[in-house]
Amino acid sequence: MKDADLERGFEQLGDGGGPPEDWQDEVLARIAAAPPRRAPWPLVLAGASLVAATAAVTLFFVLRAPDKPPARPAPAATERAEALFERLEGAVYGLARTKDRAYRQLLDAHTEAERALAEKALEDARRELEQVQQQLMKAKIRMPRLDGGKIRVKCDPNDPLCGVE
Amino acid sequence: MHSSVARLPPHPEDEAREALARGDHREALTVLMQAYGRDLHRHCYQVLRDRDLADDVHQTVFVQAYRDLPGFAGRSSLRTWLYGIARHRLMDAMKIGSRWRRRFVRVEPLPEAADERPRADDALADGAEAHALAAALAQLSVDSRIAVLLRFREGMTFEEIGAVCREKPATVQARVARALPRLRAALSGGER
Repeated sequence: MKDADLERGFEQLGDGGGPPEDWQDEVLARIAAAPPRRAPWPLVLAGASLVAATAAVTLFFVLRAPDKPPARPAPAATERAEALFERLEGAVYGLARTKDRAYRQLLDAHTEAERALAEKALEDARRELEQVQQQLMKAKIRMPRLDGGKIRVKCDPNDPLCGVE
Repeated sequence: MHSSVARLPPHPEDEAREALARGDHREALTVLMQAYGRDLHRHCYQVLRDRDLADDVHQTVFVQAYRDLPGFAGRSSLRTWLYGIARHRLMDAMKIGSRWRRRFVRVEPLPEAADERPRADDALADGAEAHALAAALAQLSVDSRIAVLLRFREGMTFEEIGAVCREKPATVQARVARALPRLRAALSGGER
């Protein structure tokens, strides 16, 4: 098989007899009959509207400020914890003043009886102050989160003063 | 100066481009129809092997060309551009034809409705390479068929065929190279 046969084959391929006689007139007639091409305005408008609507919705969601969580009332447990803390704090200050007063009495004592009384008062005040300070140390109150997280109070659950869970 | 030198007739490509530059699209179309109409019809027929369909596609190509002429960018020759339009319309026609055949094909073909395509054996018995070639071409894919015809029947370079098919010349060349052995085999069948 030679390529010359192939070339001859292509040359001899039928051409269908050529186009019809009046084909050019038919083309011109089809062109004249065809409606003029118009810009697809309805499609353009629909597309533009869709884009605008999508942009507006997106903008709305993007620009809308996130709502702050509503201020929640402090739970009762928190109030109790704060009250306990304030009470213990006040007791510490009060006992510290009592201890100072007893110490001053001891310094001002002229007799042995006054001195013994002052020493006893000082010892009582010191002991009571230590107890309250220990309670205060145990009652490490964690302030609740703004979003209303669970309140945890680190204290001995068997302690009658630990009123906060 | 050289008044004795005979002036060559203007090349249809230049003539059509001048008409386009003047804004005379109808004149440009007329030039194109006269210059390339017959070759383009032959190309349509050889791809489709259906006279009526080829007539319709052929006219459609020029109708579309007239509509698109104002947007012709001049990146290729007008001839290549026309064949590019023809390729799209030919592929459409083939697609519609195959869809129609899939939908309406008979389960049992009528005796007289046998395949009208020339069978390679019969064609070789008649000693006609063209018939065997037509049968072999019909077995190729549309893309390959168009590329082979553009190369060997219309005499286009691979660069021009690449412009028609919107593909790289090397791709088109490979496609033609793959098709040629099948065509040669079809033609050499009669020599056995």
